[in-house]
Amino acid sequence: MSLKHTGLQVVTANRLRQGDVVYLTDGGSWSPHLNESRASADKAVVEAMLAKAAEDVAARLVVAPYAFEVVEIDGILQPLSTRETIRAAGPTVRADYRSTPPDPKQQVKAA
Amino acid sequence: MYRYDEFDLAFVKQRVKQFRGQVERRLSGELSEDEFKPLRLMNGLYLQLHAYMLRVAVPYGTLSSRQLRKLAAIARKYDRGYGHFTTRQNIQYNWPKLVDVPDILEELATVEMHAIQTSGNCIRNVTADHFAGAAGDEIEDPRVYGEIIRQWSSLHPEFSFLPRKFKIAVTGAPNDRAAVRFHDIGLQIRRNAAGDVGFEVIVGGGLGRTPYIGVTIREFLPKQHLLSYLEAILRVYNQLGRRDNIYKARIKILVQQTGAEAFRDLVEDEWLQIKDGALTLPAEEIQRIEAYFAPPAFETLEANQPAFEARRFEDRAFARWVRSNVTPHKAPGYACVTISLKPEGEAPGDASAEQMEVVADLAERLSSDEIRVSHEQNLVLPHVRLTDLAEVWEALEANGLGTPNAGLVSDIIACPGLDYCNLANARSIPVAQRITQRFSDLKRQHEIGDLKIKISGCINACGHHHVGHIGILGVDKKGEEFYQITLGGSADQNAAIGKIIGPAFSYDEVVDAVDSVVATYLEQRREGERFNDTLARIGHAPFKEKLYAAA
Repeated sequence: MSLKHTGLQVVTANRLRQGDVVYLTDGGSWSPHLNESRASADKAVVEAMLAKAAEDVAARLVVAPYAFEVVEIDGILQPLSTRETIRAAGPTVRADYRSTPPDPKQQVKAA
Repeated sequence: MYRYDEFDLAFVKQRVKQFRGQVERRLSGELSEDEFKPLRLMNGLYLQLHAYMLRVAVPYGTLSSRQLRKLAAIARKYDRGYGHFTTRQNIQYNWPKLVDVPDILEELATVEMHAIQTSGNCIRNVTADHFAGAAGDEIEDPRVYGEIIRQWSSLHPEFSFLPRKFKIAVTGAPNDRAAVRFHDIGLQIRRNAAGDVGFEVIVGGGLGRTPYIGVTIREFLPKQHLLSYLEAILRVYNQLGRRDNIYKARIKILVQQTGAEAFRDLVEDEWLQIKDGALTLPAEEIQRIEAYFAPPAFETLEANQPAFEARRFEDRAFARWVRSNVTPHKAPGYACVTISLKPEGEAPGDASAEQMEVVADLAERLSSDEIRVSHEQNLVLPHVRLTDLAEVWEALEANGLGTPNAGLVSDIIACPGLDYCNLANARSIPVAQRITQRFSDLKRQHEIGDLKIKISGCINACGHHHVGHIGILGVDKKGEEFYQITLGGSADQNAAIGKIIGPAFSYDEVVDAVDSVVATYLEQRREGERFNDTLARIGHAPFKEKLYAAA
């Protein structure tokens, strides 16, 4: 299975104090959920997102930011690479090792 | 076991305080990430794929019950309730928060542990035979020299900024369980013709993208010269090792490019200048350290224990575990127990806090308060009475630690791979998990016998794939995981680097591929042949034929 490149990018980093994986959102904050991240295929927008990330590095909120490519399938953002898929969802080796806590919104839906 | 003296204790406490200050300055903005990164690495703290990772040193793989309980408590309090034992006999925590790390280090210091020199371009934690002090084939306990080297190399000012990391392993037995031919320096304790005990010095071994078997540059080094000789090797390397290219910076490249003989001459020249100087080890100092590793007071026991034999006769499951996980001890009536951290479907080397506590309790009651971490990512109870084996086994069984597979096809070394590691190209652990599931029939595993599978998720070879009888290397092909298979490697005294068998397999195919290789071995092997014997006799062709027949 290989997904087509669309040029759609999101920006990720780790929170400085905790180290957990976060994604830059539309509102300019950082979310643990990939699906809440801002995605853009516009180079200038991605540059601006990285500039915002650099500001937050300087403000000691996050470390090691970078952009990576995603695709949108049925309104859900999905990374192109296995690496980013695992980084977003947590280790594939055991469910209780997952890095992201269960999405509260989805829990509500399930109930 | 070695106990810290005032000097050790003061220095570890000082480092904790220093790191606490460094973290505070990072959080307040006084230190940038670029400034902070080398400081955190010097304290074993990485930023990995998902989170920070803290690597804690277990010197020469030896732990007391108290120390293991502390490791368990840290896993529970600051991490996600588990830890990962590594091929360098260390433990890694996968989810610590930066803000907690100073507290973790402070807790470690209370049990004489730390994370110093578990990363960075310095002399790393010295590793040793996990059966040290217990094995029947041992000349002397290698940990004595591991400790002497630890003291010499800790914060050694001249060797804190080497061209690249530097790993030393020591074994005291002719059957090499410490992979001494695959370290920057390997020390093999030997007895010379006169009956004196000293070291064979092996240099320039290593795995990674350019694997080499280490070369012997000195057949016999008398004990008193150990440190001056090591210092001479390190000096030559520090001066001539390449710093312009990270892929060519390890000592193995220097040894290969210089030539082993020329390299030895450089070392010997350097050594002549410092030999018999301040680094000479007086016999009293060796004895002082030896005293810390004095064997426990073994009871005088019969080698044959009827109760144990009866249980073994009556209980097949127990007998099977004894066959694979219990090895001979130098003292009659005792045995070494390998605790498998490779149960079917689990991550190799992982142990939960509860499991660590179970092992700590068993060690305290029934193994002279000692635990070992093996480079094959298992734990060891080194001194168990034969008559206590059944009790040990039952406790292990009840806690998911009784898998009878030490040395068998499911006793797999696997690096953290793409599930945790920032450098990996492919996953390792799930491949290991699927192989253990494929070979879940323990009876079949015992029929297959000794077989070492080792899996790395990238060319850095942390999973030792080059030296697996069957090696598996994960590669990235256009964003997808593929796996190259190598055959014929060996990390023991018959050191060998495996050869690639052919084109790589996809994630879905790789377990079938391993199954095919094992099937060919079983079809072709003659009585008593191990995997590498059969391979040496028949060559790669029959394996390849079957493996690629369907394609």
